[in-house]
Amino acid sequence: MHNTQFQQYQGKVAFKRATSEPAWVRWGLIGLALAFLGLFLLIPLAAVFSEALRKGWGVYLAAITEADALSAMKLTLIASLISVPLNLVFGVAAAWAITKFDFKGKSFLITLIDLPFAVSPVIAGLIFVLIFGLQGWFGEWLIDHDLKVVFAVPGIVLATIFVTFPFVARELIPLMQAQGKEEEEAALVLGASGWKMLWHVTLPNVKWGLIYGVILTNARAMGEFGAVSVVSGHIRGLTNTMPLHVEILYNEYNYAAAFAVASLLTLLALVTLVLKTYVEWQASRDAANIEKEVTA
Amino acid sequence: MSITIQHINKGFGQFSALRDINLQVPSGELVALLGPSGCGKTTLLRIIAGLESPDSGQVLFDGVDTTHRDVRERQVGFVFQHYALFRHMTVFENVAFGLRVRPKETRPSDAEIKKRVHDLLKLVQLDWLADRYPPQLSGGQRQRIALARALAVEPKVLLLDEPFGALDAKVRKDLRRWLRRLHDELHVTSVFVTHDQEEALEVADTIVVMNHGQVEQVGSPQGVYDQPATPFVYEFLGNVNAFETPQGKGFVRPYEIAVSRVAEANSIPGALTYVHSVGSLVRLEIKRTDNEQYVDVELGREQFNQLNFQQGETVYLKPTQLRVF
Repeated sequence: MHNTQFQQYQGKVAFKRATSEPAWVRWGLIGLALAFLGLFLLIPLAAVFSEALRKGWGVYLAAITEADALSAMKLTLIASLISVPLNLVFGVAAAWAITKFDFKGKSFLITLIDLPFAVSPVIAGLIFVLIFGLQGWFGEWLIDHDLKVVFAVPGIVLATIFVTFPFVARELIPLMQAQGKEEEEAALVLGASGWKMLWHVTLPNVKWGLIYGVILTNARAMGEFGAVSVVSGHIRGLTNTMPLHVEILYNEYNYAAAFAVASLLTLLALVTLVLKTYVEWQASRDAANIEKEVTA
Repeated sequence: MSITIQHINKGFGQFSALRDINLQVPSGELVALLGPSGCGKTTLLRIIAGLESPDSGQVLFDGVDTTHRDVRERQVGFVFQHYALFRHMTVFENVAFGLRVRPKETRPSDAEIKKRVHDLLKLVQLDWLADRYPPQLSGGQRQRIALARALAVEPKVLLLDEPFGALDAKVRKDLRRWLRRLHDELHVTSVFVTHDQEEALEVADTIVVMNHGQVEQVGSPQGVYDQPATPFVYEFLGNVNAFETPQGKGFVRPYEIAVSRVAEANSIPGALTYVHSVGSLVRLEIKRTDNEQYVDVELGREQFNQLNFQQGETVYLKPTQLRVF
């Protein structure tokens, strides 16, 4: 009796999971997402490389080994080699102060850290021109002492530090907040000095977040255009970073060379993405491993 | 090492966490700071450890003022409520930490550290977990490792913040007996914080009952239970019935009330509304006829069986002991 009833129902009622949509909706949405990805990410990516190689490998290699291009690469490397370690230290210090101590003006400090995200990079550049430029506050003093900041390498480094300041701190603050300060207190009670506590307890706990922050800082430091463009002065072979060099080549209708240098920046982006994925995978694997052994 | 606390005050903004605390912990004792949450007991423990500094007052170790001594130099062992084990270090490295961070001149050799750590792990009966990481341990295991880590630096004083707070009932019971035995073995002056009266009564030599940032009473478990000094202690430790008397508020423990079917001079009539008879004691819930308030009474099982009260019956109550404040 029950059996026949069940068979009757089976023919009529389609068993539907509560979370599934009709096939046309599913495929429609997936198709839309793929089309969007293709249009805005994959086609431009392919275009960069195909434009770069349009006139052949010879022109490509010549464009990226040309003296001005090499000097732009060198300057980009210098800017990121200085700003990344500095912002690593600043970021750790800021996150440490904000998450492990209570003091007046804490929320103001958090707002300050976010300032570079809130301000347009062009304005950030203009601020440095205003402070260190010829007509700026310290302009005369700098000339008297034969120092150049704006339209020179120091200005570019300063602008890069400014725009990349929040990345490490922003990455670490939520992580360190979630971890609390009990482990640090335990280290202190056990007799550890401040340095030993930082080195053996705090930093290992935020390792992956820190690496992630550094990767993002580096990507932005190498790719920054707006702020650097204002303070650079666009002196070829002297104050051009890679993004500025691409712009100059493009404005001179030298498309093949512009795209050749751009392709290097694109490769940097791809490498960053791979590293970022690797770090995320490592961090989640660490967490999962621990989980697994707990339940085992 | 003895601990003396003199006129300690501590506030957080507008909130006054501790008010004029005076306390003496004799050397080698196991003392419980007992009180409801927010009473200031953890703040007091952290002040003893040096993790907080008092607004005024002194902390003396063996008569020496240590109020302004750095937490690193106080030689205290601290067991945190949530253990605070270093999550990226193995159990072995956790216990070894306090020895490894010593300056070169006083640091033991690797072989000595290894021996010390394994001795401590044996003491807490977890030698076999040396290579595990803290997230792989159960709550009770983490607690014992945290204790081994605190003991590794040979502290003069051991401080424990709600040591059994995060454990389930069974593990809790085992661990507190174990802690008692461990203390009897080591004789290190120990102070632990708890909100669980049963825990304090079972484990401690001396109980310090705290409320609203002040010490209400200090005494042996039996002393504070049998002779509560204030209404708060009466209500906080064990069950109690409150009566309005002409002289003030009177307190009577449930087992300090005689129940009978016969009215006597000054006895209180009431209806037996509920009989709870699981275990060695029978608990009666009686509703007073005069003011409709409920009174809890405890009788021995044998006594109850002899009297054979029925639910709904009218009975007469007479306190055998009454303390009026």
